[in-house]
Amino acid sequence: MKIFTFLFLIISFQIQAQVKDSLVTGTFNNLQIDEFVTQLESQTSYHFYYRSIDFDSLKVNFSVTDQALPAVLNMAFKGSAFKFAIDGEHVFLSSNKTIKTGLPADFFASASSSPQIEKEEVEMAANTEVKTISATLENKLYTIGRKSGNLSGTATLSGSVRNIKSGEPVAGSSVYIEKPRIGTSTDQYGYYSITIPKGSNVLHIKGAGMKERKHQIIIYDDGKLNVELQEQVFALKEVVISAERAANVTRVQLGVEKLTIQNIKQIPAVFGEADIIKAVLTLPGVKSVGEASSGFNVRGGSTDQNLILFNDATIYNPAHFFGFFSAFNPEVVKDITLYKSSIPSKYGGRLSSVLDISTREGNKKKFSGSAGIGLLTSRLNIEGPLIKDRTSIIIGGRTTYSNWLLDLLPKQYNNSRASFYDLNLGINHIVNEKNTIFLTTYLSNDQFSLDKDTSAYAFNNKNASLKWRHVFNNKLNAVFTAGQDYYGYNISGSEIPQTAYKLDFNVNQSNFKSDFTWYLNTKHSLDLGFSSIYYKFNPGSFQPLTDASLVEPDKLNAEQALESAVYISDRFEVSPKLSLNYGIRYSLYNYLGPQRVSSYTRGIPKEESSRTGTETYNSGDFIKTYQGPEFRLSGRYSFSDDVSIKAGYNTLRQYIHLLSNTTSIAPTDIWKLSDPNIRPQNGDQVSLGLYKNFKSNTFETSVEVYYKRIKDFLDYKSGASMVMNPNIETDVLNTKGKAYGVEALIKKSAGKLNGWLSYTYSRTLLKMDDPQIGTLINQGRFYPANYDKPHDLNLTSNYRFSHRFSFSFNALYSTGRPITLPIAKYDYAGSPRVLYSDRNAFRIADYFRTDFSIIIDGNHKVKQLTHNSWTFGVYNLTGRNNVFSTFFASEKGAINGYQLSIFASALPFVNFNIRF
Amino acid sequence: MIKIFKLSFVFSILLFVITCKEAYDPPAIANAPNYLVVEGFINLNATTNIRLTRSTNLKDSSRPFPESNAVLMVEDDQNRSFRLSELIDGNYTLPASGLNPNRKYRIRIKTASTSEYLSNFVSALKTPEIDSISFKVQNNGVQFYANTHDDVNKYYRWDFEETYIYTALYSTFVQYKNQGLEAIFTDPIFRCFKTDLSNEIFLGSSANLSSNVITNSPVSFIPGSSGKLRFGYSILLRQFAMDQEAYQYWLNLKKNTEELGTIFDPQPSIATGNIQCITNPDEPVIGYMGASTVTTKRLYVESRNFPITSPIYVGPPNVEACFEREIKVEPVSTFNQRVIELFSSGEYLVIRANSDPRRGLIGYFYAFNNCVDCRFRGGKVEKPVFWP
Repeated sequence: MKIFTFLFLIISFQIQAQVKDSLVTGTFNNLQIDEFVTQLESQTSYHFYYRSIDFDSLKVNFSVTDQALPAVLNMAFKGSAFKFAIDGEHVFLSSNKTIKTGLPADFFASASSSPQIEKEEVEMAANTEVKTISATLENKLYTIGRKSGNLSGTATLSGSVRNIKSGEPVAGSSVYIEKPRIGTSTDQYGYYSITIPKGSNVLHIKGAGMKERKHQIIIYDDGKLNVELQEQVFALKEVVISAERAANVTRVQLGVEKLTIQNIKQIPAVFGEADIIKAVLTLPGVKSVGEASSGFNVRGGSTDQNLILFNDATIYNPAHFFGFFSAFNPEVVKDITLYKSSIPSKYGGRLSSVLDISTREGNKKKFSGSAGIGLLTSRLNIEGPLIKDRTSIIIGGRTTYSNWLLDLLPKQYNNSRASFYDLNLGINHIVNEKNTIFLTTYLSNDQFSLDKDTSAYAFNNKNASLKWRHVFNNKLNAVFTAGQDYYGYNISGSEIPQTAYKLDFNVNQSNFKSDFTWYLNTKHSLDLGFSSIYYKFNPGSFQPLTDASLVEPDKLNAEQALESAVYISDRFEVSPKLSLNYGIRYSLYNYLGPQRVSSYTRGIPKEESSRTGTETYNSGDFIKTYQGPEFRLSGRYSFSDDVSIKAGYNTLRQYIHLLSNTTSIAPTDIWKLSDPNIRPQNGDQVSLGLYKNFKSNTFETSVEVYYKRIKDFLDYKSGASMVMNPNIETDVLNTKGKAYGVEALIKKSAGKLNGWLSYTYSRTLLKMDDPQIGTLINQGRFYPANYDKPHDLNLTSNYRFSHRFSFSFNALYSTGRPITLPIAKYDYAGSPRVLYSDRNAFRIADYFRTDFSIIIDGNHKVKQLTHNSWTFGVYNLTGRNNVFSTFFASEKGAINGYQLSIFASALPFVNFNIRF
Repeated sequence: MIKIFKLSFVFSILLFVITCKEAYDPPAIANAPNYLVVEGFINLNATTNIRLTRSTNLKDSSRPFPESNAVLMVEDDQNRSFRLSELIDGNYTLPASGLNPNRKYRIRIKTASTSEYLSNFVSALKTPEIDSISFKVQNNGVQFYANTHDDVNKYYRWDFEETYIYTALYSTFVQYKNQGLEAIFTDPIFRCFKTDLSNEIFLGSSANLSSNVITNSPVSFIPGSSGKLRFGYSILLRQFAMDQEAYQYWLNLKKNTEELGTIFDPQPSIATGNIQCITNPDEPVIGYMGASTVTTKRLYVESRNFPITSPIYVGPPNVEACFEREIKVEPVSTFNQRVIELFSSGEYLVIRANSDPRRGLIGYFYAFNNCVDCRFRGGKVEKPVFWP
């Protein structure tokens, strides 16, 4: 077709323009194209060129008297995608694209500005205003911008990349041209902006799990091109996932890991449900304390140093059931991105990492859904268009019915009840080409009641965010986000009527931010913006549960603070080989009244005995301000298409602290704002990475090294109690930390066998050597943090036997975590008791676990009511008793050592999934 | 607040089905430190008893070594000092006379190896009377509770002495005496009284209550399976008032040594008391030296108040199971000799004669001494004066 078109163009080039003014008269009644053309040809001297099959949908239905041909054709094609072009006596009909009767100005490089071509141009109505073109066909030539003779310089092309089937944006797809090599990738809204030389180009679009696209374009000026990609239908031999291949090499940032939900669903998970957090734990540099822990540790950071964003809503507790399930419904998640090192300057407020979880927008074309049934949980997800192609809604819900498990417990516990649920609602509305609105809400609830203690425990996450995405022009777009986040728990106990109590704790934050992306030119694109978070923490209220209770009502003062930041960063493409990304973020933190703040004698540990007074502040008072710049630098040098080296340095500040006397996120943890007595944590990290892909990006390999320093990390004095403590500063210690490590990754992302193998060597050490703060820990020497696990080896793999049958296998090995062991015993208060070693001087046994799962899909007929799949598997296949903790207890005079394992045997699971 | 910590313990129970608790032998820890352990308190209204021992290796099964030949001085804040006199086994004692409840006190210890230790000054506290001891039958056992109130004190510690009756498995009606066997009419070694000291730390606090009232603070749970509740039970509760610092120390000690083993545990840590080694400041010293008066209360409960099931017999630990054996009279010629061989060492005791109306005396049943003589479990046959 292309050759055909050009052939005619060449012919037309030599024919002199000869305007014929023969007019058309007639009544056309339901004419097909052939009949219509025959009539026109009979009345005029024009000759028509077209492919009748392209016009089989056309019916001509009108009458004219003495009209010129262009007007007649305009009427005939009004409201359709059909176009025409007239060159002398030749009329070219086409669908979608107007055939250019002139050659593109740069068609012959030497004759780039031939005046005669200009003269022959017949400008079409469709081209008189800049209109977004939707590109769905590959063999079309797309013209971008108003045609002009000036083809020197560059023009900016922007648009969105969407899934043709569901209308959902395809984030992270690469959009590039090969000569010269200029590329970009779509943002989370599927939006891209690329500045390329004017003239003809071949635009490549590659998306994860999508068929690659190539489009011939001629770009004269800035313009828009929306691309719809088809899902990859995998042939048996070239299976699955080409998620951002080569992105690891070409991306400027270091330490960025991205997983799509398809990747995550292949990883065998305990109880059979795809688990976001557990998937994150398979990535290099990410660890957890053990199986019953909610949080994760990134490159030696503590669990509170991760900013977990669920569609820009901050999630404070990412777990259900104390970490056995993660709080995110896999059915609504699209993908996750973990930033371990080069944290974009638009993010801040946490020291270690940003885990950005984005949810799907929902199908914009038709209603569909999915459901899953497992041993302990079930989930349901429904999505569809409220207005076709413009507004979509997605609703996801998950609940548990784990009580049958509790009924199997020994008698005194089988009145216990535990349940959780979570709900997601997302609405996405495309107002117009330039404005899109997103509403996301998230609600999670966990409840436990224990008969033995007649205690009840509950916690909630509640989040809502509203985003407005506005495209100012091809080069500038912005996202404005407003949101409200809540996390809270309550505990009540009624065993003894005199002390029946209810304890409440919650954190609230309201945030507003605006993020601008400015594609300045081929070499520079800027990210800039500002954000503001207003925190209101209710650190505890302790109330009598009943009238008979003697509990004195106690309520700690609410804490409030404002954290604001401005940032700007520049992605600078110095040359195709060298890219830099540098940014600065300036954050400002105000601790606000009303509040009562204690002051302490300087130079001695903060204790009740060293308190010198308490000052009262009123509402609106600025009690304490902390501020400082944060630098985010990274650079990449590509030796070739598949080898690059990257380096980065960044500094971060964190104003909120999770106070927990345990090693993982536990029910009674307290979030605390920095105040005059508790300084913000800050840290910096330098990292270096080498990336090489093999076999046309089938194998990705990388090695990254990092060194990190942390200041004012909080550790605890012995016997510190965090709950209902109005003077937490007297129970915590400021420590210094350092962490360093090497992470190696081999990833195979295509073929029947895919997966990744990662190895991490890392250390995390803390030090408390200031006697003015409190008793020295380990005599002021560096000691390993609780989650310091030097060796960590992780294999995640999937083998697809056929379309319907695939097999996943995991293997994990890591050094045991450090513990403090008893080293001596002595008699005291009637019992032998133990004396403990230096903090974290010993380690528990190494961790090793293997899991497998088999995923069996139903048949793949496109037309059927539901698509079903089964997942079977075994967690901890070898049944190894991986030690979670060791402990020693004095039992009736004797000291016995024990080790506790969770999931101490092979645990089979089954899950049934339905898509409809 | 203790309740909240307890709560986290219960959470771990939820995971019972899928968790596994195994015995754990830590790697041999060479060169176990040998720290000084100071136990006791300065008693303002009765004899002060302080015991000095040394910590031992975990795997060392011997009792902690007593620290003898040390010089202990109780010092007040007006430079007066009182020297304790040494008893055996590292015990040191001082009569209450001369101590003034309005002063502050500390203790100074000089060991034979010339190390010197000194505690911080603490105010002497006046412990209120125990209002009552209450109890509740639950989980086939009895939970005792302390009740008290005061105007000043908010923190308390309790320990107790418990006295109970237990029996041997077999009553004896025959006794080996003068190289022969003779009948007796009452069994003097069947029933014993035993007094045990508490071996747990019991703490209570009214710090978050509007009035300084301690209501039903748990002090001791006696399971029915212990057999202690079968024939009545007497508890002598001792109450000590503490300040907040001492409470924290004891709480920490309790948490580190009695409450570990749950999923959400705090990190164990060295319990730092208020005693320092002044000759080597880096040397940890175990113990907390408080000063207070002590109050006591005794409660006797008859066994009919305990509707629980108790085992008939609880043997001493680490002994073989009891069963009856028999020594036959035939052949008569060697009977006396056999009786002497069997019973002279005291390893076996006679229970009763085995006779038959037709054949007369056939022999005697006997058993291991610990199945017959209750004193092998450590009790005494004499009834204590407080026992009704």
